[in-house]
Formats: sequence, C-alpha cells, structure tokens
Amino acid sequence: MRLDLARVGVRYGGVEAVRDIDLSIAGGEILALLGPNGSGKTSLIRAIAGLVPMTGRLLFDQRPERPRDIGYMPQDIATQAALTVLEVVLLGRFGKLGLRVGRHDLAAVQGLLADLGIAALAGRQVTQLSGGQRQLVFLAQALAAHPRLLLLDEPISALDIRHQLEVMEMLRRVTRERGITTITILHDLNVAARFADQIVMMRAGACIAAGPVETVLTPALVEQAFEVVPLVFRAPDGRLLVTPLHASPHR
Amino acid sequence: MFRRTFLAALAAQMLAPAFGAHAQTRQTPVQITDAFGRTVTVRVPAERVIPTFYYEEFTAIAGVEGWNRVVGMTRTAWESWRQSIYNRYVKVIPPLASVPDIGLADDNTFSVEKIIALRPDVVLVSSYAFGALKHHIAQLEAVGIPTLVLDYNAQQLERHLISTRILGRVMGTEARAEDLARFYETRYRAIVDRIATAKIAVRPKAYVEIGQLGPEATGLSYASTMWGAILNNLGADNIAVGKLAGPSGPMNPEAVIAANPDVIFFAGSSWPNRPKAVKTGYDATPEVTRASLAPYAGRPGWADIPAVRSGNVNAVEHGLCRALFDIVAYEYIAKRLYPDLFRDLDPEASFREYHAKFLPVSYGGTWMLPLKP
Amino acid sequence: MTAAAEAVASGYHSLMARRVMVLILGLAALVASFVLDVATGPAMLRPEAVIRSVLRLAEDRTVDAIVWSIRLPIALIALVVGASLGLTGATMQTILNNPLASSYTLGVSAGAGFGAALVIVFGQAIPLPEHYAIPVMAFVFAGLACSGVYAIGRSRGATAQVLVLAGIAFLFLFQSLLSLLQFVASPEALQSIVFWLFGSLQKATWPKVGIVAAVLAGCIPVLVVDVWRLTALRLGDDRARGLGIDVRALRLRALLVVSVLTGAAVAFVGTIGFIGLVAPHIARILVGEDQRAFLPASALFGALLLSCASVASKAIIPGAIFPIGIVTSLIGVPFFIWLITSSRKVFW
Repeated sequence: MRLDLARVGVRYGGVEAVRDIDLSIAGGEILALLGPNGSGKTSLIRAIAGLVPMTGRLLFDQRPERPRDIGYMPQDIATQAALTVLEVVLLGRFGKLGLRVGRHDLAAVQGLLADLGIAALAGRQVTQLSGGQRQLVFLAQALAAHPRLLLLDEPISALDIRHQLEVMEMLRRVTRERGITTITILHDLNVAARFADQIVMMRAGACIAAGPVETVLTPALVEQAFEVVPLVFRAPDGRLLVTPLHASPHR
Repeated sequence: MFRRTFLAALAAQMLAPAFGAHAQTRQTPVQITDAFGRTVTVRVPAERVIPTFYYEEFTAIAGVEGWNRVVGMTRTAWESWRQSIYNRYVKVIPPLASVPDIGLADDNTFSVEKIIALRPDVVLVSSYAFGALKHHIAQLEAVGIPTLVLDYNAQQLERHLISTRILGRVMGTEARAEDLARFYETRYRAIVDRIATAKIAVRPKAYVEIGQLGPEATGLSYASTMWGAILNNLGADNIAVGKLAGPSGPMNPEAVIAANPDVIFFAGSSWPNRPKAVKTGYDATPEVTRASLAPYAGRPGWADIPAVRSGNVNAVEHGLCRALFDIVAYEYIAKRLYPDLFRDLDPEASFREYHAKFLPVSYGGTWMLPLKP
Repeated sequence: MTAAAEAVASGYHSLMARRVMVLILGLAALVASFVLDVATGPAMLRPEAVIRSVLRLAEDRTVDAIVWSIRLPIALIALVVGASLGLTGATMQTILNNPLASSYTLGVSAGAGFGAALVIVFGQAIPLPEHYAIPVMAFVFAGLACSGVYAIGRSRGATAQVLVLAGIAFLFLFQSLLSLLQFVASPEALQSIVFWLFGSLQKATWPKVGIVAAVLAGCIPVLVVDVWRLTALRLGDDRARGLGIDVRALRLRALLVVSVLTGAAVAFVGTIGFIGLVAPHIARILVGEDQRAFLPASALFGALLLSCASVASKAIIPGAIFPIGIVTSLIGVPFFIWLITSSRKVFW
C-alpha cells in the first residue's frame, strides 16, 4: 500500500510533539524512523495508526480512509494477561474472528509462529516468557491479520543479535513478497542501514532528513540528530556502518 | 334436694372437662382486628400458637395451661433479655423449657421455615418487630398461617386493651382477659382523670434514661415512645422531647443538666453481664438497688439538679414498660411527679395484687424505688 | 499442514477441551451445591421428603410450602445473583485493568445501600409498600452512582484510571450519606440497615428470581458481542486501539451492562461481598482470559461460590441462618489467599 503524509503534526496539550512531516512510501518498502529520545517518532507512528489526533493529511493508497488491516506493534511489551502465545497472536486477527476460532485462522497463524521460531511456545502463558520472546509474540500478532501497513515501534529492542537478524530478514521478505508498507522505529542505526529502503531522521518533532540510507546516514546529519560525533564507514561488502565516537561538544 | 343439686354439680364438674376438651377441639374461624388495624381470619381458640414477645401478658391472660398450646416462641426475647424473670416462670411452667425457638426479628434469625414446620394456627408478633417482619408475615400468609400484631409498646390505653382482648380471644380465655382489661382501665383512668381535674399549673420536669452501661455512659432516653410515652401520658414535661435525633436516643449530658429536671428515673433491670447497671427485679433488695443507683446520681454536674437535691432520683424496672403491668409504673411515677395528689396510691401493693390474681409466680424483689428512702 | 502446524492446532484444541472440561466440572459442582441448598434448612426436613416435594410426587402441605416458597427461591436466587456478581466482577476487572475491581468499585454497592437505607429510615414518606420500595430505591441509587461514574468517564476519555477515581468518589459520597442516615435512624431502623448491608438471600421470592434472571439473560448477549474486544483490551489500550477497537465506547458499554446487572442483583439481596472479586480470579487461573471462556467461567464460579455460601450459612449454626455476607467474607478471604499463594500460575 502506498502511504502519503502531508504536513502531519501532533499536539499534546500545549506541546507540539510532531511538526510538519511530509513523506511518501511505496508498498514493498521498509522505512526506518530514527532519532533521539523524545524526537516524536512514537507520536508520529501513533498518528498514522489513528491513536492520537493529528493535523495534516494521511492518504492510504491515495484515499483518506484508514484501512482496517493495519498491524500496529506498540513499544511496551509488558503484560499481565492470562493468555497463551497462540491466543495473543490470534487476537491480531480481530475483525476476522467469529465466536469459534476456525481452521484457517489457526493456519494463518501457525505459519507466522514458525517463521519467527516461536511455534514451540504456542501453548505457553505469555506472562512466563522472556522479554525477547514476548516481543516476537507481539510482532507475530501485528502480522497475523496479513496487514497491508505495518507500524512497528522498536520491534527488536529486546532480542539478541541472532534473533534481530532473523526477524529483520523475515520482515524484509514479508514486506517484499506481499507488497506491504513497513514503518519501523529503530534505535540501532546499523540495523536500519542494513535493512531499510528509506530512512526518516527526526529531531525535536521535525524531520531533518528523509531518503535512502546513504543520503541520511551522513556524519553531519547523524551528529545533528543525536549530538554525537559518529564514525561512518563503508564495509568491504558495501554496507554502511555507524558507530558513535564521543558526544558532541555543547554549543 | 340439696344432695341432688350437689350431685348434679359434681357430675357437671366431672363432665365439664370432657365437654371443655371437646369444645376446645372445635375451632371456629373468626375475623380479628389486631392492634395495627389489620383484619385477619383466625381459627379460635388456637390449638397451636406461636407468641414472640409480651410473655408475661400471655401468661396472665392464657394462664399456665395456655403454655400447653404454645408450639414455638422467640426464646431470646425472654430467656436472654429478661433472664431473672424467665427463670422464675420456667420453674412453674414445665413445658416452657422445651418450647422450640423460631428466632428473633432483631438479629435476622426469625425463621419462616421453622414456623411453617410447626404448623401453628396463629403467630403473634409485637408492634416493634412488625416493620422488620413484613416479608416474613407475607410469606406466612401465602401458606395460610395468619399473623396478629399485639402492641403494648405504644403505651396507649386503647392499644393495651385491644391487645389484651385479642389474646383472650385467640386463647379462648376471654373472661380472664376482661378481668385484666378492667383492672387496668379503672386504675389508669383514675390516675389520668385525677391529674386532669387537678389542673396542674406548672408541669414537673422529668428525665428518664436506661441505666445499663454505668454512670460514665449516657443511656437511651425516650421522647415519645416507651417511657417517654408514659411521662407524656402523665402530663410531665419530658425534657427529652425535641432534643433527640429520633424517637429514642441518648441525650446530650449538658442538655440534661441545663434542663434542671425535677424528677429523674433510671430504668434498670437484672441484665446479665452488665455490672454497672441499675439493678431491679425479683432478685434485687432495696439496698442493692440503691447502691447501684447512687453512682448515677453522683454524675459530675448533677449535684445541683433539683431532682438530685431533693432525692427524687428513682429506679424503675425497665421490664415494667411495654407490658400490661406498666400500670404499676404509672402509679409509682405519678406518685413521684405529684406527691401531694397521689398519697393514697401504693404501687407495691398493686403489683402484689397483680401477681396474686394473674401471675403464677409470687411477688418479691425491688421494682421501683427512690434513692432517698 | 506441516507437522509443526498440526502440533499447534491440536495444542489449541486440547486447550479448548480442557476449558470445556473445567466448565462441565464446575457445572456439576454447581448442581450438587444447589441440591444441597434445597435439601438443608432450619426445618430439618428429611431428604426424601424434599425430593418428593420437588418432583411433585406427594403432597404434604407443610413440606411443599417450605420447599417451594422458601427453599427453591433462595437456592435459585443464589445462582442468578452469584452468576451476575461473578460476571460483572470479571467485566470490571477487565475494563478497569485492576485485579481488585468488582462491580462494587464503581460505588454501586454504596449507592444501593444508601437507597435502601432511605426507605428504611423514611419509609412512610414513600408511596410504595416497603418490600417494593427497598429494591426499587436500591436499584435507582445504584444506577445514580453508575451514571455519575459514566458521565465523568465520558467527559474524560473513559480510561481505566478515570473510572476508578470516579467510582471511588461516588463510593465515599454514598457511604458518608449512609452514615448520616444511620446517625438519625431509630435503633430498629439502624438494625434493619445493618442487616441489609450484610446481605441476605432469605427474602427471595419467585418474582425476584425471575427479574434477576431476566436481567442476566438480557445482559449476556450484550457482552457476548464484545467478547473479542474485551480479550484484546487485556493487552493494553494501545494495542486494542491499534486493532481498530473503540476502547472508550467499549468501556462505557461494559459499564452500562455492569451497572444494570449489579443494580438488579444488589437491589434484592443487599451487598454480598467478595463473590465479584474472587470468582473471576478462580476463573482466570483455571481457564485464562480468553473472554469466551473467562466470562462464562466467572459467572459459573460466582454462582457456585454463592450457592456454597448459602449452604454454609445454614450449617454454621444448625437451625439458624448465619448472615451470608459474613460467610462470603470469612470463606472468601482465606480461600483467596490460598489461591494466590498456592497456584503456579498467578496473574497479577
């Protein structure tokens, strides 16, 4: 699905959390939303998901109506619900579930569990999982309804590097194969560099850079956004690697 | 001829019980209007009756034989609340000890189920419990068990007389009931009429309090019910009127002192587990009663109250209230309120007479007493 | 399907089967408790006599009167009130995201108590006969408390926090007013108020059973429609709204259902505590929070708890009836503690 944002802004009370965001993203693309804490990334995602009131315009495939099949994964993975992993993931299909859970619901979900490597956990209580395992469960939930738009708020923050790799590869594959639009907030610049098709860099509610990886992950822009002096270099296989050297001197 | 009459009389005496018994098993349904104006159909005389309060009245009207026809009762209201009185009666009424308990309205143990299982002809409830028992009475009615309300609590002549006559009707002892009614009415009217004729200029100020918890606590006083009603009927100026949150309640101690009552009455009894109570009843001697009363008169700030200065602080048995023998209390209180007017009254003699004529237990103990002899 | 997929599916089906088993066993226990409730009572009737009366085999007027006009209504009202309290407790814990919530958290019980006390103290001023007036006023004031919470909630986004705070405000309001009434009441009225607050099944009649049952039957479909929304709500407001659920409307709808059902139950039996708190916890531990199982299980265990409490209230003092509100607390609290400390799966 194609997503267009025109002058999107979010205001909480007197505070402007997001201001004047313009961007477009085509189906089959992963857009990484980067920026320091408090830069408005979560607010922007919540605005796209329809959870907070916003100004400006959103077009989904050039139409203003928000579609029903959006997969949203909030940042918070704590839960106290007495539900099994399978039940949590099935809830992602809300809207398609009748009073009885049918064979095709189960079929839709089990493939997802296998892809994320948590099929063996299907019958476990969600409260008994580790943080990383829970994160995979909630990701599966976001994907369960076969959404055309995926909004992920820090989906891999609790995972070890192997799982991070597997999940991002899965996301890339799913995004491409099904032509869905994936917008994900990430803290790890290198993961973003490796998997994103587009990056939007935010600072203080505004977008300070948007575009392909090379144009955004420059030392100057990274320093402007994060107030760190980075080392940006290209690995032999061509990918960009960013590492912070030291904090920027205060102006 | 004399012998023939004598033999006829003897034969009649011997046959009478047989006839009597036969008559007793023949019941007729009659319409009775109870103390609350409810008209209820009851089969009289009742063979199976359940009284729930006013037991001394029941005994006075139905006699000891009446207890043979009692199939259930509220035991707490006699056995616990008036233990020393109950203990005397149970000695002379053998069936009393084993009458089944059907529960008490006050603590929600009143059991319709138990009553139904006892198959009574009628249930007698007291006016004060009626409010809490509306649902139960409706349930009993629905299965054909009538309930009559008796009311000695109102302390009104009419209600006393109606309740007495109803009991007589139900138990088939109308003659006795009439005797009692007349005993009561003549004495009551005598007192009240004398007060009215005397045209008292200044009403004596009176204060009544239940002396149960000791002089440090303030016991219940009554504005318009129970002892309050008695004071009002006797034309006294009841200082509690207008000063209580409801019909009864503890008065503010300051208000008592400020009102300067001329006569004070403490309602006492022989309550178990109440060591500081004013002690009256069958087992109390005058010394014991006075000893228990004195601390109350010695309350702080009370020394200058007219009633205390003149020694007009009195103990009266709380059980005299809401009963047919409250006439004795009327006589005593009238004497204390208007000493010059009622020199001829002797309440103790009246109570002795009441016992002799109507009760199976003998008179004794201390029931009403001034602090200063 | 692959082997792994088959495993997932069959795992789910056996989970469902286990839950059905729990419900069936619960139902069996409920039937047993109900039978015991009808068979016991102060009149000490023999079991054969009771059975004959229930099945209308013989006609003994006394036994029939006791069984049909006293025991059956009481046993049945224990079932429908218990189910209502369990169901509303479960719903409240879900929408308020609070394990200590029950329908009383909204101030419903305090409102009902105040309404009943008004009738008890000022009965003469109200044109209805008292045994209608008390349930009606109890229901009206329970409704007022809930409407107040609803109105405040609606104006402030109906989040769990706002609803709890509003509920507490109304709880204190009505409790203070109730205390005021108790202050001016005569001793008899005071006694009546206290006993009403204890709760009692003893005033059950067939019409009352019918009314509560009808309200329960009417409320169930309304909750069934929201069964998946409520399950999703357990994962947090954000996730639920991300799934497209109007969380505010959901809470307000649930609030309405809870107020009506609780009001009806409390109006006739007074405030019987702990059922609405404990039954959902039992249900949660045994069947989890898929609301398709959680709600029926909460209702079932609520009915079971109250029915057992009714039996117990008759057994404690043979021949008398112990106030049921005290029984539910005395049994409910230690049971609750045992539940929390001994269970492997503890939620919250």
